[in-house]
Amino acid sequence: MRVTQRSMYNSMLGDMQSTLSAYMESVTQGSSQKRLNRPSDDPAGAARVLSYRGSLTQTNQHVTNAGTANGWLGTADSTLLSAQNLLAQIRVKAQEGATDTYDADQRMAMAKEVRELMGALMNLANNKHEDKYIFSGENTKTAPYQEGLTTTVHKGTSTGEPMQVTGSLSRTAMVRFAGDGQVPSQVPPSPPAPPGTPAPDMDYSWSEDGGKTWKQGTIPGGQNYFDVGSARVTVPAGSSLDVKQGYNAGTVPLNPMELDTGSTIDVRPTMIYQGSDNNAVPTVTPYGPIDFPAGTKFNATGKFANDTLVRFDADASQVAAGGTAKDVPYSYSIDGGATWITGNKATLQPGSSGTRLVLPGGFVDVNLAPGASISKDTQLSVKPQRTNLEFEILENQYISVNNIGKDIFGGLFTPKGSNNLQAATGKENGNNMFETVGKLVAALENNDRTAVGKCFDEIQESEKNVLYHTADIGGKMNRISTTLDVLEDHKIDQRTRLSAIEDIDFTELMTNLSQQQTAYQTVLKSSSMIMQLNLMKFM
Amino acid sequence: MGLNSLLGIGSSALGSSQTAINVTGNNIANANTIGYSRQSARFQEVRNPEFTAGQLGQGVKISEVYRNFNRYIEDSYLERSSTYNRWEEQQSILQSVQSIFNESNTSGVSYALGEFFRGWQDLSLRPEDVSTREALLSNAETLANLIRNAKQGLDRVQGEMDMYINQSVGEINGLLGSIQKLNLEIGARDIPGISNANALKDQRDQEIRRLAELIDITVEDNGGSDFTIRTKSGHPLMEGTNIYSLQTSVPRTENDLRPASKYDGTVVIDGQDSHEYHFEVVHPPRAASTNPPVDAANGQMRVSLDGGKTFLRNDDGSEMLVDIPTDADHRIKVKDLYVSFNADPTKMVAGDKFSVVPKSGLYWVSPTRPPLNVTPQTLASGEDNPGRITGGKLAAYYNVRDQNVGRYMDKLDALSNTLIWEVNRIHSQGGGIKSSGHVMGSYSAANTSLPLADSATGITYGNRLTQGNFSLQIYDANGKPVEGLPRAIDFDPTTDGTQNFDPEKHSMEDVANAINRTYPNHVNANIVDGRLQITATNSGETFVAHNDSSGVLAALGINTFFQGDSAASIGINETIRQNVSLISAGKVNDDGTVAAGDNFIAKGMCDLASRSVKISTTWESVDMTLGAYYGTTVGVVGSETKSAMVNADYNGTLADDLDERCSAVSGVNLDEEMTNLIKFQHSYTAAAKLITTADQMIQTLLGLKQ
Repeated sequence: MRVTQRSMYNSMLGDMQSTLSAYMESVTQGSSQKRLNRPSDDPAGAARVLSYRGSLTQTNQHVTNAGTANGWLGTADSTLLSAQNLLAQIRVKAQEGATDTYDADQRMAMAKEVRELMGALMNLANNKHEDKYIFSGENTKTAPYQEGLTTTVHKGTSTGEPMQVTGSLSRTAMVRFAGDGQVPSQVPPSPPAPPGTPAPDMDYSWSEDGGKTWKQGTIPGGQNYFDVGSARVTVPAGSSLDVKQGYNAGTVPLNPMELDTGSTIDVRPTMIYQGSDNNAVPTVTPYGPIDFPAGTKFNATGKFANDTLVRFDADASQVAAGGTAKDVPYSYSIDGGATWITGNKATLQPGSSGTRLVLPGGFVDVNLAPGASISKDTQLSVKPQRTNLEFEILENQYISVNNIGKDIFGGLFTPKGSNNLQAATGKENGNNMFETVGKLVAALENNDRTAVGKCFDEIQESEKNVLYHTADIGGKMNRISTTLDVLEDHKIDQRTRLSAIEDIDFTELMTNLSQQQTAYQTVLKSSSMIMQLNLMKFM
Repeated sequence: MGLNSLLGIGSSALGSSQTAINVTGNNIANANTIGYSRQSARFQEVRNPEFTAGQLGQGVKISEVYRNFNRYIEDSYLERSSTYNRWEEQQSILQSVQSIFNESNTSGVSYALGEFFRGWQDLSLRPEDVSTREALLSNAETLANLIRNAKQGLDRVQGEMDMYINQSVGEINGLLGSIQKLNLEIGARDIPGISNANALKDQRDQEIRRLAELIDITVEDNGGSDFTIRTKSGHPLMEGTNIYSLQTSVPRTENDLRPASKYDGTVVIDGQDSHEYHFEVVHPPRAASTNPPVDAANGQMRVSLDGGKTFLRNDDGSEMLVDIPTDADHRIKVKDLYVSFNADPTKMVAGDKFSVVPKSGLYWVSPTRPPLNVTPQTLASGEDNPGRITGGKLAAYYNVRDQNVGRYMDKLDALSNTLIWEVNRIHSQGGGIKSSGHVMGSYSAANTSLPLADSATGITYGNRLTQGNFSLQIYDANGKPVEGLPRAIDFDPTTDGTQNFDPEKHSMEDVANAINRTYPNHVNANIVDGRLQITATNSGETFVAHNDSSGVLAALGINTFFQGDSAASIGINETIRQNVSLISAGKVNDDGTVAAGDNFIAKGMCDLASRSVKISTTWESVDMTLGAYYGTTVGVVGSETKSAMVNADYNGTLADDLDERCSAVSGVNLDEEMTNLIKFQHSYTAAAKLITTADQMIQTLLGLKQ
């Protein structure tokens, strides 16, 4: 091939350019310590790097989340341990108070101590983590407990809603009545009184010093409340309190047990829960004409984890008895209608007005009003009350970090749909710690040895309940610590993969660098040698 | 045969050698002249007039000075050079485009997206904390900013491409003009074999090389001025001394109707897009008629992005059919492009085609017919459309503008569009730790009385709406929920029971009226500037719209997080930006309250980070997580850049090789010229010796007499 000046110089320049650019590329890799410096270096790798970096960010976030969850749970754990200690002290007091060896004054002293311990328990229940109450459900800005008063009825019947007490008392009060009767008082049905007869007044006495001294009071006929010192006891509307005569009219009961068939009402301390809870039944709101004509009922049952939407996919009307059962196809969505899970089916049986829709976490019973039918595209919005504060600690794995105080410590609370306080768990149930301790205070202050003995048993139940919740929290903390191990493994794994894609192999780079250097030197050397040569030199 | 003839031979040899030395000198002088072809002198023996014995020659003459040039290699080089220049230009532009997406050593959209979701994770840990909300807001701002910046970067590249395109088209037309002039001169001066217009031809070839860098051409040289240049697709650019031209044109549309068609209008477009669209009528629309009785029917047409070679398909594989708009008010919306017809569409017949080039295209102009579209186009198979321009820098500019950057923009837009919708959809289900007494929707409708699903309303997310309903929770001046109000909104007072929202039936005005009817003494909903505005009517009262199963809140921009609908317009909802307490972290409880510690909505957002969502552009639809979608987009940018680099490298090597072969023929080798110089110098010396010899012989002859 003919070699010309132009081709010779062009090819020398080209060689220099290409060796130098390969050399510079290696230098860039050396300075960034990365093999992948722009997407075109390894397009598939670039996409994978972004994906691994995304997972790494997520893993780090999960570590943060798990750490925060650990903080919440650790605070709860140590709080409950302290609560167990306090409860043990209270149990010892109850045990002492139940023996015959102590008199009223000594029991009074014990009562003072138990009141202090009860206050200390309230402080524990009002404990905060990061300035947020941890036993208040999701109402983390509201203190879960405040002091309050409630009643214990001995030998009497309270029907309907429990009595509500407002005001304050420094010591448990005892209330006795001068005759059989009812609050609010009623005209006795027999013998029949003439119409317009006013309801009778009722006399009562109360003592704020364990029955040593008594004060008198009268409940006017029909009035649903009575005052005890600076406290007022109200019988909620629609409810009533039946009492038996506790002392003879006109006398003052010097001995609380004057008529031992008589009713006594203790007005005693308790704690009132202000936080949120998980107890309420989910509400179902129809979106669309299914509630027409009015009277159609929806009942959701179960533990729904999410707000759930149900959609009817076809029209369906009630079938008269003897007809053929009708399918009610429906879909549901747990993300506010963005995606629907279709292909579910309920059935309207002949002669029945109701059907059951099975959903994740529970079911909704639809009971159609006479004449009402299901129209296609009608929706039901099921809103459960959930108060768990959940943190994601692994992808799609959540841990609940807050607690509902009333389930651990008890006390009184206002259930959804009511304005009246009631005991957090069954009234006679020892699980309700604050109610039990309140009753113990009342029993000690009233020098009621038998009641103290009963409280001793209940306190042991309360201790078991607190222990159960401590174990639950401990279990969660264990789960977090294993999760943290898993996350650490994930992190190492993701880093290794990331590094395999984007980091340089140092040995390889150094080898390449020295090869490229040699190549460049060779090109320079040979070019300069050729350039020195031409025919003129030899003429 | 006399002595004089010897003198003649000597003098012819003297002259010829001198010419040859001149030619060599010219070669040496032009050793470094670009485009210069090595010239050689052709020596020819002067023939004997055939009256002497032995037919002895009469000396030598230079018959011509010719250039060493190989048309075949040159043509191969031109073809390769066009391809090389296209890829070289494409790779160098894409290198700078990929830096927009490069996150190897810096943080970009992908990182910001991760941080955005991390912000929601943090909020899920501390839903009541204002500083966490501020941090989330600033993460979201960063994300929106980076997306907008990326989009602006791509816009800038497209703008530059338009500029380069105009410059290149000007240059091509200029080059064609100067080649035409050279051609004319060659025609006048070139006498083949006697007087070669070597310099002019060199110049012409040099101009053609420059032309081939810009556009792919083929050349046909039939000698002299009989010279043709065509684009590779066959459109002549120069035939002899006639030239044609290329021109860029504003967005255009074209009808290609069947002979039976009576359609007498055109297709009307508004807006721009980087694809060419071809619509083909499949079912022509039908007008209602009483005899015979038929109902009016909507027409349908199919859509192609590659000039009718392949047609777009639905997710299930069936051919995608779009409704033919019935009049100029009803328009098909494709991204930012609106398409409508300005005459009665019932006159169309099946097979009528309409092509739409909603961008500045490239046209071949000849005096006898309308401009012909030669804009570079990529077919669905990934090949270049061979009927269009496929090579040279011009093809690179168009490809980068429409094919590469155009698609990256589409992907970025699709990502933003889906991100905004999904986030807003989740956000509008819950409530913030505070509520507000005044809300202004962030999406405006051009027409507030058309059903929201109708694309003519201009509500971007109208097509995502479903039937459903939502709640408005009203709070009194103390922030306590007002009880006893309806939980769902009745969209049809004339029908019994609560009626749902139906996107096919209800317009923005209907939504406003329904809200006013359902909560008459608490809020007033009205439409301002095409946007829905809800105001609490009692002083101190506030409200939150939530629990939306229809998507209407997200589509109108009520209780939403983002505003906008594309990469260019993504931003934070003004209401939220001014008051971070309005960010929904928790659900609205059954009793109407939003608990301070509730993180339900925040958790839903975190979940979005790892949930596959449907992301659609006009040409593809995928189910992926948002992060993975962006990752694959970066992968696509990288692989297209890499493929351009590989192509440039490959074609560059081949072009260099061909250039070397050209210069092997046409280039100057100084050693060779030096040798020639010595050779001709010796000839000259010998010729001079011939003359002295003849002189001596004459002297000898003249001396005989003495």
